[in-house]
Amino acid sequence: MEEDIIKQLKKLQGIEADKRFTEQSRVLIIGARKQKSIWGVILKNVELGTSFALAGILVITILGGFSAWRFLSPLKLSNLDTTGLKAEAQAVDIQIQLTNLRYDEIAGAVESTTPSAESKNAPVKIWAGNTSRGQQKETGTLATSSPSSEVLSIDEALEKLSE
Amino acid sequence: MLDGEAYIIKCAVGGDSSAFGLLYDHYQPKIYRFALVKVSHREEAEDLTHQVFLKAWQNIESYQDLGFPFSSWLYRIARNHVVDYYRTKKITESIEDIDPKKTPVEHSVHSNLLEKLEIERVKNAIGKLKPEYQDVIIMRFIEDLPIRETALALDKSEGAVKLLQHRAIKELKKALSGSIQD
Repeated sequence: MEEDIIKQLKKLQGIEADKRFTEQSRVLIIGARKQKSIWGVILKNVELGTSFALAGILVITILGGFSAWRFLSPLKLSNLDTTGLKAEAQAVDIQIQLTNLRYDEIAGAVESTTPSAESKNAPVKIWAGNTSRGQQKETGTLATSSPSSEVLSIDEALEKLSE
Repeated sequence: MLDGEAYIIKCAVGGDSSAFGLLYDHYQPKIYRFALVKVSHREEAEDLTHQVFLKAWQNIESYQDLGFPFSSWLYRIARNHVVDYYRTKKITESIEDIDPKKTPVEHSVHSNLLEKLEIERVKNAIGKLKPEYQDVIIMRFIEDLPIRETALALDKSEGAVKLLQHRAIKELKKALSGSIQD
């Protein structure tokens, strides 16, 4: 059975294309080959050269990018004025110290006007009570009851402190 | 294989149109048969054959003689064209539904009417098989390609080709016995 099938298949070898089609197709195919022009060759070379050049630029950009950045960058980190920075930092510290100093001065002055242990909260009272007259009176009496020789009113104490 | 094929191919690769003409004369009937069995229509098989050789001629510079036969390169192009043909063509009629009586009886070579009908019956039975079975049957039994060359053309191992060949014959038997019953 298998041999019969193979014999039948061999018969298909007799199939051929139409002779007219074969001749026409042959002529058309051979005539259809694109002729290479000089311009085509030049264009191809230019394309190749351009691609190589672009690849080279890319490699240079990647490799030299970091070192070039040091010169081209607007930040210019290498030209930083370190002494200026130090001075600025010190100035900031001084301001902080001055602020603390001022606070200490205020606290010290108030403490000096309130010698008794009972009136530990007096500086707060004086400071906060600067706005109302009633409180002014209260603190005023406190101040007069202090044992120190120099008696100051709240307003005077504040003026001194502000100096 | 063509006598002095390696030299002819070398000349054709170099742009010698007469050398390619020789290759065309030798391989055109094989590619035409392959296309005809695959598509079952004479005009379409002619178109496909023309396209295969046109593409081969336009791209012959890319052909490299790596020990593969030239025919396997051509069969590869032909297979790709057949795949494209079925992909792009709106098939209004399935190949399996084609009535053998509708397909044109081939050529003047076959003088005997009974023989022509027998050829048509076999051709239609092959058309009912899976594409890879068709390829193996055409290459191995119609074109008598060796297993190695068939394997190269189909991009399969030689063992796979032997297996496919066995299965294809088995399926063809069934198809032919079915056509007798019809």
